[in-house]
Amino acid sequence: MQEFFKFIVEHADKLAEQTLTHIGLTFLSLCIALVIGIPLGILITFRPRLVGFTLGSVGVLQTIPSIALLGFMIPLLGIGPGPAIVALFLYALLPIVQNTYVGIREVSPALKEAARGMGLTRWQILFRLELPLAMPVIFAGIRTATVINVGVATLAAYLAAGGLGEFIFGGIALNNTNMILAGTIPSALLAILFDAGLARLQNLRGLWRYRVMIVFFLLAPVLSSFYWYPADGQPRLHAGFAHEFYGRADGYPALIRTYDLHLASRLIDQNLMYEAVHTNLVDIISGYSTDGRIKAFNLRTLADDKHAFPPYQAAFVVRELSLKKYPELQPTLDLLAGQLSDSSMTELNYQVDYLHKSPETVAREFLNRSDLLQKPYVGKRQGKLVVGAMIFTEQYILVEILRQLVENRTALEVVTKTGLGGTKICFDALNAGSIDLYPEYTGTGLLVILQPPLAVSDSLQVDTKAVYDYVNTEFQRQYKLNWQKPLGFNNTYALMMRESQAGQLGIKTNSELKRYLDQ
Amino acid sequence: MIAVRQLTKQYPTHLAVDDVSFEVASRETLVLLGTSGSGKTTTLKMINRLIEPTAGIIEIDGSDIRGRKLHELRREIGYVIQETGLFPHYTIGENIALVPRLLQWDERRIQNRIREMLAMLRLPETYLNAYPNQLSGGQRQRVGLARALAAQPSILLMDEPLGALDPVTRSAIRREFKNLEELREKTIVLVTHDIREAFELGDRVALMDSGRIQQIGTPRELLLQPVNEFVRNFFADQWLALQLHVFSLHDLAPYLPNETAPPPEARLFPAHTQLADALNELSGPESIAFKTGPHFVTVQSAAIWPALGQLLQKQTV
Repeated sequence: MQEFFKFIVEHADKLAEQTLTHIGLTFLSLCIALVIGIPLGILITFRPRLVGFTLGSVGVLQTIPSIALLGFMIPLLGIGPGPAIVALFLYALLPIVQNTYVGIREVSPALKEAARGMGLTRWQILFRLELPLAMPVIFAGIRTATVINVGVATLAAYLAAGGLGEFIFGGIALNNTNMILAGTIPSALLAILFDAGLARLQNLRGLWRYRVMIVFFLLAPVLSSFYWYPADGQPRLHAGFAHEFYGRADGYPALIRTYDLHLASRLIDQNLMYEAVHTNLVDIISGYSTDGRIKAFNLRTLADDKHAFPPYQAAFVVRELSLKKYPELQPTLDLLAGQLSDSSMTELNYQVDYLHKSPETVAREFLNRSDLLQKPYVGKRQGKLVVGAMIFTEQYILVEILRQLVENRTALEVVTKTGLGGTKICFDALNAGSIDLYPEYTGTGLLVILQPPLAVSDSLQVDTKAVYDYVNTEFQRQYKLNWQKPLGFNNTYALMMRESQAGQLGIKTNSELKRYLDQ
Repeated sequence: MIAVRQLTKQYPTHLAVDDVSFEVASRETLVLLGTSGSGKTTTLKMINRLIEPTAGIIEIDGSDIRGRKLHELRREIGYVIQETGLFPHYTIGENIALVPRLLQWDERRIQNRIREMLAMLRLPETYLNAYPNQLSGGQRQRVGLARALAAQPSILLMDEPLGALDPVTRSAIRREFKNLEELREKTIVLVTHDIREAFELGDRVALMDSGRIQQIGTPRELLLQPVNEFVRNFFADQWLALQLHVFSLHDLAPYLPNETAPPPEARLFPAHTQLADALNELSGPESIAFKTGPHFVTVQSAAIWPALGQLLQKQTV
């Protein structure tokens, strides 16, 4: 409980901003739903033939699970507040259209006939009789729509539109209960608050009801404008951070610690982050330095000149027993040392992810280019080497390179076990002898496997070589596992910007970014 | 004033109004009387074009109403329905002001008219800002009438105006309406299924059945000279009571003693007072007097009955 309040206090600014954004999203979509839904509800009372079709259509929208509706928005409209508001609007439509229609239709026919008999026109009947009398029912619909929207708006964070969902998604990604609660409790409170407020309004009698309803209709656009309420002035650049980056000590907090770099940030799903910067939704993202999309979207990776982020050098981790068993393995593995730079690894990822080449082809082309292949070994295979890989593109490419190289140069048969869930699984498999080796990153080995005391990791983090030496020594000592020489690239966190914007602003490093923002 | 010729309304399932013709003279009250389904309400609603006829012509002041703009036509015709017709979200004042506002009267004239209507219908001014659900049924009905009269229409259509009231309130309001000076100047078509109401309020009554007018005439004509069995049977149940509505004090004069001056203790009544009304005023053995020609007739309630007996005997001969 204490930790929860501590989290709230620490993130008060962010939470306030998210709450405002959340209210903004809810009411912006609600306003659009009112502007479209009420006239639509009125229209179908004029044209009874359209009733079935209209209520059917908006009803079907309502049956789509909210997460799926938002999911559909990505291919249709991309990400950002626009698609999120469209999705929320579609969700709010049914209760408003339906209640407008029902409310008007339930006005007593005798009353409508009396009004006609006294010479009111169709429009006068609508505005003087039907709408005022239907108002409580319409408001019940608005109340339902508002409460639904407060809930569904948490999913807007998935489309990088902000709101209290940022903490909920972030908390889920980081398995951080306090973070989940920091998003959940305010959003639940908002729902209760709006529900109770609108319920009270609905129960007002007489003249007051109409006065307050008019106030509500004027207030809704004001609440909508919260979406644009700037968190800290008008930031010059907007950042979009993956939840993990935002929450992990070696992510955004490290950036703040090292550069004193505070960014107006939004939490985004890490798979949508690259698209978000590509489509100008944000200007800076926290990418991974070898991701293929860096090339695909022409992004510039800012140099971490003060070493805020720990090094994540890639290298194969091999069982000592395997190296002893197959002495020809060591020299072959040595051939790969330093062969891959950040940019060449990015290129390989790009070819698989975006050009849809198979990892096998990409690996072969790489080996040919690097002149690492000899006349292939054609004799009978002797011995079996099992190679593991985690479940992402880069790992597939690396084990494929390894397989082709080893089979080219030695008599060993290489079997790959790809798709292992993560570091912990690979490491356990390696430790147990189910696999002989797999590609790992020094930072992960340090923080996930070794988990040294804070003092040790702090002293190491800035120095690439020190980290490598430390993990190598400790793996050797504790597990009899051997870190091969680094492959050359560093798959770590990096801030990224669009090449065009970064070029224009002359930003190449994190320090330059800091200087630009301080101007 | 109102002329209806060969009016027919055919619905897909049935014939609601079948070749109905009648005229209503200026300042006359015509009652359309009949059971439910007789076509009386349909006929009424065709006059202000809430329902469009299948065939036939309706003229007001000699011009076909189909040539008129709907809203203008309706704003010139007062329309009274059961108490449910008041707008529940409008105050009494706003309800009464509805049509004058549609006609864009200036606000002072509207306010004066509202106060005038309240005074006329003996509703306290404190009711101006009350809502219809705060009033009793009878009060609501008076407001309904005030609303219909507010814009000073020359024609008034009333559709079961007292239908939602209990019998006691009903006859009280009926009597009150009957005595309103302003109502006497209107040309009125009133629909009811209540025979007493028809006889009390109607100058003439059109008895309808199955979409047709069975007989149209004064209450006395319908009662004493029915044209067919249907009309005769329709009034059979209340035949005696209805006599009191079709005869006035004047009709009894030949059967009562007369003198040159009324006794000082007797109350003086107009000679055209219906017997029913006269009896209503009498309690116990007091006498009333009325003037016929140069003479005065004095009568005690007990003496009315023998005189009526003689009158009826003469009528049926």
